[in-house]
Amino acid sequence: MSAGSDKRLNLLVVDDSAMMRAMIKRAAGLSKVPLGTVYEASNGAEALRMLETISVDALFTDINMPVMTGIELLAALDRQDRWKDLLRVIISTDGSNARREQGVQLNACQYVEKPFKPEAIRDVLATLL
Amino acid sequence: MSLPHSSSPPAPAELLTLLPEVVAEVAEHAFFAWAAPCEEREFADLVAASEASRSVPAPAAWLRARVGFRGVVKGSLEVRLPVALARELGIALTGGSPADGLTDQELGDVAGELANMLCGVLLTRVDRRQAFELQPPQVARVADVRDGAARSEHDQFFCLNDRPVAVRFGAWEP
Repeated sequence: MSAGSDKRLNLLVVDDSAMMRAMIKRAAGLSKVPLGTVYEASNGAEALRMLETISVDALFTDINMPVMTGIELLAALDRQDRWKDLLRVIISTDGSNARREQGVQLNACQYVEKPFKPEAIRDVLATLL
Repeated sequence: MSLPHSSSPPAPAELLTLLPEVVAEVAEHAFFAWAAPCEEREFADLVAASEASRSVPAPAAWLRARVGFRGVVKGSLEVRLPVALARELGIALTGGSPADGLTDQELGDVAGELANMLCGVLLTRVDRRQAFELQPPQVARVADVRDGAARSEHDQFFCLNDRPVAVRFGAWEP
């Protein structure tokens, strides 16, 4: 998605840890990228429900979550054309090549390994501007 | 690095070798904190100092977070840390102020995320080629750093922001 210069980016952060969601929100806030609303979901299923009613430019998802994992969420998004322009970012402690390749196959164009510095989130968001 | 297949028992030797640098990296990058290994005697001194620093006695002043992992190796990693340290790390993680209170759930999240990151970075270092599975962290408040657990040869002691942290590897439990 190509965002206009005055556009504020809406984000959806999906992680079962409220503290990690807060950390990602904080990193996004430090990025100096103009932000609109940063939505939060605690698992993939909750994220899918939210996406029915909100408009977001980028989705940051953890992998290991209860109810629906990040991989299952990405697979569900991949099955529908309506999400083809949504920037999908995996944020995970699993930095293995196999997991990264799985993400690529599910059209997650960015991969951030935990732990990360705030600059990693800034760099991802910068690709939307 | 060559390691047994996941059906083999845990290989703590490799994990133990990598653990100090991984603890330091996670502490610095996620929590803006400083960490280094310490001997058991120094750890005992840190525990005593931590106990003495509490203004009022707390019946469960420690957090224990356990994460099972299965990939190129399988087993579990358990972290024990004072609640006061979890509070400090949580504030650092989210950029809050020391005056901010954290709920029990949030403190548990911090301990769980610490265990989760240690596991993930360790397993990625062991073999970057293979994906792995992490169980959701199991977190509990405990009265004591030992909490009845016998000394294990796999216990590792750390000083994190001048506070004691113990890490132990165990078996995978489905």
